[in-house]
Amino acid sequence: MGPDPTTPNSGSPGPPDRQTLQLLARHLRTEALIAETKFDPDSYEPRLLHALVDAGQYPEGVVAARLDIRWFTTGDFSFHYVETHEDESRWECRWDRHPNPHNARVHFHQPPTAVEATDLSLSSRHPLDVYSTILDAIEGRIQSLWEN
Amino acid sequence: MTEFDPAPESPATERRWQQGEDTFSRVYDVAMGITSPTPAAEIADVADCSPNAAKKHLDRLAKMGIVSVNRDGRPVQYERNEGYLEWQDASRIADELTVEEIIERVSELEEERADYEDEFDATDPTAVSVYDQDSHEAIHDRMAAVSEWHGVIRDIRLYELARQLAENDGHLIPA
Repeated sequence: MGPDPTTPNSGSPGPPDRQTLQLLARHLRTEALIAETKFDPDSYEPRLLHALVDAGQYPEGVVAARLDIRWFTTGDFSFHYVETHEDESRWECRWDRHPNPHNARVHFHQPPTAVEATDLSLSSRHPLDVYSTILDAIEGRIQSLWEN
Repeated sequence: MTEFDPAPESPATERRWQQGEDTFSRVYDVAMGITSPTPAAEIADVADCSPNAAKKHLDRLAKMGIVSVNRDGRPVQYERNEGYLEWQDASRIADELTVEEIIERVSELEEERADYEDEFDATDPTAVSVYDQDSHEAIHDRMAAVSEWHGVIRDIRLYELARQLAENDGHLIPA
């Protein structure tokens, strides 16, 4: 569906995929979970898409949460989820797709520190499907916070 | 606490991005994320519609110029039309910014490009090795930086097109 460089550890990431970032922003804005979306540096040159999760969705103790999205024209991506807690600690994880010598091209950096990476399998790599899976996962996270 | 599941099975039959969208909108949205030639049946799979419906809508989007078609292959393949979408982005910049603002932005981007050339000691981002670093975080940081460098080079061309459009009153060719 997207170009897939055959040599895993060479090549270039390609520029940010502005059409995909605009598509994701358009959909994120319809999500009740998302309070605001912002392009960095701006909407004329989308490189990074920030989605602020509505802090009101979380139990007390979580003061802010955001999802930072990069999508490359090679079909690679990075979705970085960061919660900031009242005690100033962070709970974070990251969904990535890029060549690397340690893990599968698609991999997941485990919470709470997003350091340790494990292979990840996704049923579809289309940006809209990836985004839906990740929003479902964040919804699950919020639910588990309430259950504790 | 239950362990965090990074890829939960969606409980609903509809994926969350599909909710409230009709078939045409779904096909359109899926096409906007497709960057290499793809058969209608695969697009139908993601858009959750019949291959015939996907084909009908894709052919309509192709007539509008939004999607490009490769009719040489069997089956016929579709992808988003980058040229059309770039022109649309440039038109928006030409529409919303003044020629002075566009020129100012290009000179800022040129400075950014020079900074990247210094940082990586190269003039071509494709010459920089990105994925063979030892630390995973180093790969990640380099990937983001080199991608933005590529983006800066591309955006300089995009703003150049926007400047031409702005100077010619929205036309590509002077009247």
